Amino acid sequence: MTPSRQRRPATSAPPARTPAEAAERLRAAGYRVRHRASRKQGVVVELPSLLPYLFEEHGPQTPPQE
Amino acid sequence: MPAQVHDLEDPLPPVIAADTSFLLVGVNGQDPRHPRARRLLDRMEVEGTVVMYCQHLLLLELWSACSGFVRTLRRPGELARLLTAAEVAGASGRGRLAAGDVPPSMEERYRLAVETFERLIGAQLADLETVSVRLSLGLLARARDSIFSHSLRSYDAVMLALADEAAAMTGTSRHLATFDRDFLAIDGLDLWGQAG
Repeated sequence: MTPSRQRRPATSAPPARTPAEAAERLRAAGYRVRHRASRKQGVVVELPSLLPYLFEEHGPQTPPQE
Repeated sequence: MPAQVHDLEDPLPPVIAADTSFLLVGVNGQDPRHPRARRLLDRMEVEGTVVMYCQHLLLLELWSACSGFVRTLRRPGELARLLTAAEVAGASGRGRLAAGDVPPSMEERYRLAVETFERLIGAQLADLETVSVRLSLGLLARARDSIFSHSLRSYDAVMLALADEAAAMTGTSRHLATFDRDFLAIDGLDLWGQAG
């Protein structure tokens, strides 16, 4: 991997204050903003938490020591 | 200064990055953190908050979590309930499943769980205004900086890079919806979902 580039300079425009403004900025940056579906699709299930399994690969990383 | 943990009723930012833990808890009513995730997701839906996520990272983490989940499931009925719930919601093309329909093979159970959770999370995302960000070399380069500067593991570092990207593009602060407490130590990060 090549060295990381410097972060792009912050825009001089004021911060986006609404989701519509944020979406417009993101579109201008080349991102595709997907609108929510017209019909609610989400569903909730009742199961034991998956987070313990998810977090098995998380946690702070110990820096290499001398 | 550690991250700022927001109250559930604080004004939402216009754009927020969401990680796998937040989306998983949002679709699981039995998780003790579910009411917090649900409240925020409902507000995001209503207010049109732009939710940024990384589909590639989401899938990698989801597959990993499902592996542990299926490995420890003792009762086929639990997996059957998951698949049936997805079917009822129209998120699956399968018919209703009973415990006896769950395949005995661990490989097949793993496949079913992964496919179903992918649909569940996908259905949740469809209810939101979203931006799916590719796991590009540019994003990874930013993540690598976080590995060094914040001692984050790779997955967390990518999420922080994603929050950075959202902030840089919109001029806002860095906002992240997560239940991962590793982010609490990150200076200047605005966290959503966790109890303060």
